[in-house]
Amino acid sequence: MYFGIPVAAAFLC
Amino acid sequence: MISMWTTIAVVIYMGVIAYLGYRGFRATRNATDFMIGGRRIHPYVMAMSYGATFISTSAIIGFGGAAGVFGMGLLWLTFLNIFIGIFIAFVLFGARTRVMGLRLDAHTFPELLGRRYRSRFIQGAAALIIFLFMPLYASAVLMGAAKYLAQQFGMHYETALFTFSVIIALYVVMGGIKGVMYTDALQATIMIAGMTVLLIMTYSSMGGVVAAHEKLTALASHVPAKLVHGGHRGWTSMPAFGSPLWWILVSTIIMGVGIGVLAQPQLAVRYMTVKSGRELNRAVPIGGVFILMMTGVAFIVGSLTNVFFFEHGGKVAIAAARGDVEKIIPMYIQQALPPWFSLLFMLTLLSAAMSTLSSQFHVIGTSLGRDFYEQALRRGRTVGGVLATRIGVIVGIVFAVYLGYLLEEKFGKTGTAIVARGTAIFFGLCACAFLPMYVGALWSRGITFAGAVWGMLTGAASSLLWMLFVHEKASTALLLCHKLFGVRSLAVRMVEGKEVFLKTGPIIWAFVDPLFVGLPVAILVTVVVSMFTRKFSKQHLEMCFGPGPVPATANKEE
Repeated sequence: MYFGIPVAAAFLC
Repeated sequence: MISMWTTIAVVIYMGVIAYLGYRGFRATRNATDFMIGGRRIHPYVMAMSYGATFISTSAIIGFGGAAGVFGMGLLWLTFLNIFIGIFIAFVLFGARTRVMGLRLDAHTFPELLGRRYRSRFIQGAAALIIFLFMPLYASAVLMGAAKYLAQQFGMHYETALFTFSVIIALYVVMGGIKGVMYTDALQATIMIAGMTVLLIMTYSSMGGVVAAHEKLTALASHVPAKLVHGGHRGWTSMPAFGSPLWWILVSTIIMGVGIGVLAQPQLAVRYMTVKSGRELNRAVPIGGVFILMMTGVAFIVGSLTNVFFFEHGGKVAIAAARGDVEKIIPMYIQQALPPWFSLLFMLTLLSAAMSTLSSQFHVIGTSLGRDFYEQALRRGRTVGGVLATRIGVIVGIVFAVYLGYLLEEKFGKTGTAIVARGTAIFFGLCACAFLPMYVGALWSRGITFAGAVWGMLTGAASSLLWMLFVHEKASTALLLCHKLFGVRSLAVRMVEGKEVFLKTGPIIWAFVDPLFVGLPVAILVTVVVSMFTRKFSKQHLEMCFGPGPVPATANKEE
């Protein structure tokens, strides 16, 4: 889980 | 009580817009002022205007609602919007466009291409593509805004449509790009305030960033069966690789819009409105933060609406909105947030629509009046100044309103579907027709006139043909494929009464965006034709690229 996301790469925008 | 505050807020908002439009009118003395702001626009105004033009109501309501269905995978589009749409666009494209635009004394995007390739045909053809297809894109924004206004104020749709159009027409026709950009900057400021509050209130109501994401992750088992069948794996996961949902998300939404932004004439002209490269550099952080707070917030909040609707009714967002994607965000605002925020959000949407529309109308007007009538046809130059452009703006607005009104009136739901595809059609068409020769114009001395022309024509043709006959969403809306071949897409086959999508390995052709076909074809044709046709003279290339930039103090005014 990264930032509650198991997409996380996209969030890390 | 709220309606009184709403009325007061809208009256104040319109008053400030009128004042800024008047300021633009007073500051417009010649064609350079009307079309590119005298090349002296402030970087804050330029960056906010670029962002507000880029982000329309469909980015907040339509794509925000789509995030309620697809989930946070849409954040790849936000990344592309910031990295390609702002950083690459301003630092690489913007810097060269500004310098070449000044060297060639270009006032519009088609004029830049026409003078770079020494071709009135290219200027006229590019202007014609913009004039014919941009009103469809404008109609999509206009209809969405008019419906929203009609609903908010209890007006007739037609009244809202015409009132809204006339207000925008006034400050575009009178104030030119200065009127457009001054009002854009105000509208973008309102938009950023509204979206910032929306993000903070959403995350804080769900226990913070990580807690909100974990709640959304926990809903993966509640994805509707139809979406699971299409490849959906939860709102914090990408769809299964190669599934129909994956293709829609990656091909159309992320890549189609993410890359298509580079060749948008209404955005490219913004680079020519600033004085030097320093202003462009100063605009980069403003634009980057603006886009993050627009699409980033819309996609995160859109995804998180699933948590709210599930906790307050046991349904996921798309089920709560009864299948209407565009209702997800408005329903969430109405049910989850305090009434005063609805007022701020209404102004945010009003600003998003007006800022995009005013720039569209301005570009339609300059394409018809300046590029096509004055320059390509060499008519009406005696009237000088901006009369032809102002008339072009009025013609463009009438055309867009006519499309927005009559398509729905005459074709009902089919008309609405065609207009709804307007944004995607225009983005795809611009990327395929303009991007290869635009890149060639800025970076290559080897692209020839013939290469540019054939690249533009084959890019536009292949993109349009793919939309008409293969791309399932577009071909279904445009009807021609069904009329000619009896199927809604040539990539769809009927097998035992059921629709089957044609596949080659993981590629599902009906979901491949026109950009993936038209752009490679256009690049290939541009390069190959340029290899076998006459190059430009050294003098012309030196005029375009210069022997090297030299310091100077003045800009030319027309």
